[in-house]
Amino acid sequence: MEEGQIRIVVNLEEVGFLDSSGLGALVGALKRVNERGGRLVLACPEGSPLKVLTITGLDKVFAIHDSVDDALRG
Amino acid sequence: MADRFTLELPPEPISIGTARLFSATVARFFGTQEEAVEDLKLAVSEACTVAIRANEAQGGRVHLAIEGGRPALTFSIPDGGSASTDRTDPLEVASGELIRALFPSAEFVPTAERRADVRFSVPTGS
Repeated sequence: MEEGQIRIVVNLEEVGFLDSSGLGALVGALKRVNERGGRLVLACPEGSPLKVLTITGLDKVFAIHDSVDDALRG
Repeated sequence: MADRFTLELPPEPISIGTARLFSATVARFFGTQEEAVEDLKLAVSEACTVAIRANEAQGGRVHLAIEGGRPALTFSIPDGGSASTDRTDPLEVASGELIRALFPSAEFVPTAERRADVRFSVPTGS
């Protein structure tokens, strides 16, 4: 992949649980993708995972979309 | 007389899921609402992650105790939090802040150097 051409959508639709270890993995991935000029966005977080993202303020750090289609377009 | 449930686990990541399931099962048995069960699972996961890190080097065990019944259950995880004030460990900072956000009355009782026992309560059904 060339720089600037990376766009990763993490589909959280079937993720029912997310703790700080999972957040750490997402933040680490976001950092690596950003360093290569790409984008990493989240799709479909609901329930407890969305609550964790909100509590930690990471809902402001990640671009979050309601559907995978929106995430791919956005 | 209050009920008491205890769980002792090896300090391995796989133990976190067991602790979460055990906690959720006891809470549901006592009628805790599902939203609170989800918060409980997250708090137990965070505390057990820290407790595993604290015990894995020495081969110590991770302990979880649940006491009470109605109207509340109290969850205790020794070594589940950090008593450190330098806050240099990002994982322990994030874990502690998540637990406090979910359960504002959670207690972090300092024990050994840098370690704290974590205690928090969830309401049960009437």
